[in-house]
Amino acid sequence: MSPDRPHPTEADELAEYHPFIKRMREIGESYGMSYRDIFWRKATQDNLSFVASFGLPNRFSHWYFGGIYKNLKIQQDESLISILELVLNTDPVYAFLLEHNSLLENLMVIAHVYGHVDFFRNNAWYVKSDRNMLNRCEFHARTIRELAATHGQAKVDDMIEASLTIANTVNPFERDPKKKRERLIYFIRDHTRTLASTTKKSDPRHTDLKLAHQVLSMMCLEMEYFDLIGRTQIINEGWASFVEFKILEKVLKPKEWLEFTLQFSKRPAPYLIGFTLFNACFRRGGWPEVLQIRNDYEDIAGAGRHRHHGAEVGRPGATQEPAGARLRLRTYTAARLTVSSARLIIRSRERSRSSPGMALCVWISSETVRMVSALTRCRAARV
Amino acid sequence: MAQYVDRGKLAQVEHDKRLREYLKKDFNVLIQKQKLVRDGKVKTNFATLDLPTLRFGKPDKESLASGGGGGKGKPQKGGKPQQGQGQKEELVDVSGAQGADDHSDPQYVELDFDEFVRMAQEQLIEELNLPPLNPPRLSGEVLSDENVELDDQDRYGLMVDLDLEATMVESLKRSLRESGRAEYNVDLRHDGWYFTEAPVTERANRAVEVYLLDISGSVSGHNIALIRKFIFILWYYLDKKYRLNARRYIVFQDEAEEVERDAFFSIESKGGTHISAGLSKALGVLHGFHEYDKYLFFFSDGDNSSSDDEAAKGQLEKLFDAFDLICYGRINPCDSPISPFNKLVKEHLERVENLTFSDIKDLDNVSETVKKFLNIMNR
Repeated sequence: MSPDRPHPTEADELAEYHPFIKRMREIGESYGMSYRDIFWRKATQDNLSFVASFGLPNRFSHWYFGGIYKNLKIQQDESLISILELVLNTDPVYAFLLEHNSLLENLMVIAHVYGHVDFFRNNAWYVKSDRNMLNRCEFHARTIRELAATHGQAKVDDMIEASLTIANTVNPFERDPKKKRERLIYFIRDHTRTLASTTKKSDPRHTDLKLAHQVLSMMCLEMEYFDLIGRTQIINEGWASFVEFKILEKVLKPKEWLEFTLQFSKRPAPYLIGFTLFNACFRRGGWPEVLQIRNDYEDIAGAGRHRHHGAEVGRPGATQEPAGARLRLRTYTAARLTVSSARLIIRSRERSRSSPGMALCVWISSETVRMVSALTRCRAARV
Repeated sequence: MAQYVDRGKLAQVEHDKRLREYLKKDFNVLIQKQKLVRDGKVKTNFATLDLPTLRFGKPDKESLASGGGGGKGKPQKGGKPQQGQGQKEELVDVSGAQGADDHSDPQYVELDFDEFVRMAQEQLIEELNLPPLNPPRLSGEVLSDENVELDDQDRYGLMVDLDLEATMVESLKRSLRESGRAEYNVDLRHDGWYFTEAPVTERANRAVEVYLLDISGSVSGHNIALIRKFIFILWYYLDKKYRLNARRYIVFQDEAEEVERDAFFSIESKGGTHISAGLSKALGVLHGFHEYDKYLFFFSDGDNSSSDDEAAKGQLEKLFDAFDLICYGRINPCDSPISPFNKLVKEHLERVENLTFSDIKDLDNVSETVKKFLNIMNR
């Protein structure tokens, strides 16, 4: 398969983007990035909301996703949020361009997607991710439909609801079986299997236990896939934003560049914090350093590296649970902060010096503020 | 990608079904809101229907501010500190989207007003044990933006430039539609044969409903909920009977004003009471409705300004001729003594056939009022 083809059904719609796609790929490769094949597809806002709410386009259907879908649609209709880009970590990668986006907006998306695709391919944490997840999800969806036909829709729905409630307790990187069983979802999954094997087939509980085990096993696999996305949110989005920035530097004309920086400054916190981290590392060590970071680290480790100057914290092979949980949580929490609340934290810097985790949080926040202020100045100059 | 949209919408339908069940529990609180409708939407009291999700880790705002990161941990319930809690993860209850990045505040669930009304009707019909009705048989007339006002020439005479082929086609469609075999839209402008079949027995099958509400201070909280419930039940039955309903909304205190539906369901009580102003406005909005059944639904406590009683009496008598039915719901939560205006209405009640009167005190009372009204309507 030749790389970066539009999907066969939508080949003509993307004709105007081909020269840009080709050029951006070449620029990225010249920086040392490498990619998997990408299928580009055009999609409506509804389609994007659908994929974003389900996680993957052919995942099993459930009212919970319906609620997220509805919420996303309402928020998009009222222009409260806008889905910036959507790319699936599969092989080949599927990337979606919004139909009503302007050319510039879609160029931003294309450059951003190249960042993600490079990250998917090269980041060590993603080695474990299931790139066949589209097919697996399809299989799960069919199995769930079959289970619903056998056991009744209501029963299967209840089981899925219960599984979704504990779905976030997965940890695909926990290798110690003992510790893994401390996680609720794994414990129940294994326990239902054991119980099912010890109860007689005539026992009515036997079928329920088997059903629970089947649903939980599927849920574990799917949630392990999504866990990685949450685990690398800042570094992944940051890398994608950084790559986008660097690629578009070479592609856009000055007027377009100004428009791009204005839009770029309005990105949510994880994008800007991640971008700031990579930008700071780039200033220090250039491409070799940032490429190394995107290879080896997830959120905590990426932030931790800056603090610990290259310590082996967070390498997948080095520790089972990368970095400390509290440190990780603070990074996430910081990522959720708005710039104004970040300023408040900086004011409490004196108090926080005693805690390394807090200091890191403050560092991230202050970097963000600095960068956002610079971008704001740029906006002010334009006005 | 088309198939994806359907799956999203199907899941949304499932979500909405469950949502409706939850909303029914919250219905009585919701319907009392002073500003029920905003931009055609009813804003509910809870965010999207969500699942509680458990995961490891606690976004601890307090420790973020104070910087506490020791290994001892905080005391649990019962006073014993848990060793090493600072390094361990805890199971906490958090909620949120799984598949998508969600960087925004939670949005409260909003329902289209029509969807809210349907939900309210289901709830009320069940609660009050009122008879559910089947939808009406499809008539020859079709709802459209271009419903033409018909004059006698349209009714009795064929158009000069009648297109015979178009007439036959439209007539065939109408015939199929009336027999219930296919739901065609019939273009009446080309169906020249329609009105010549039985012009005398053909009914216009349209109604204009005027809702007149006193906002002088008596209408709030419990009362407003009762009035809204009353209106929703009425709509249930009227929508089943009439395919074409024109609805006009008037609010009055010292002065009367015709308002949009949203404003009618988002009232602010103030001012004195001049009932004559409201009644006069109700007559005014009938202008142009020639072939309609005309209904007036009038809600007030009847405590009219004494200087206005004479004027109100005059207007009331004019209303008897103008409307096919006048339904007066007296807002009377505390069994207050009867006012001169209410006395006047009661006097007319004995001799005027198309007038009904009812005290609106509680939900059972609403049910009786509706039944009374329906009896008269079906005479």
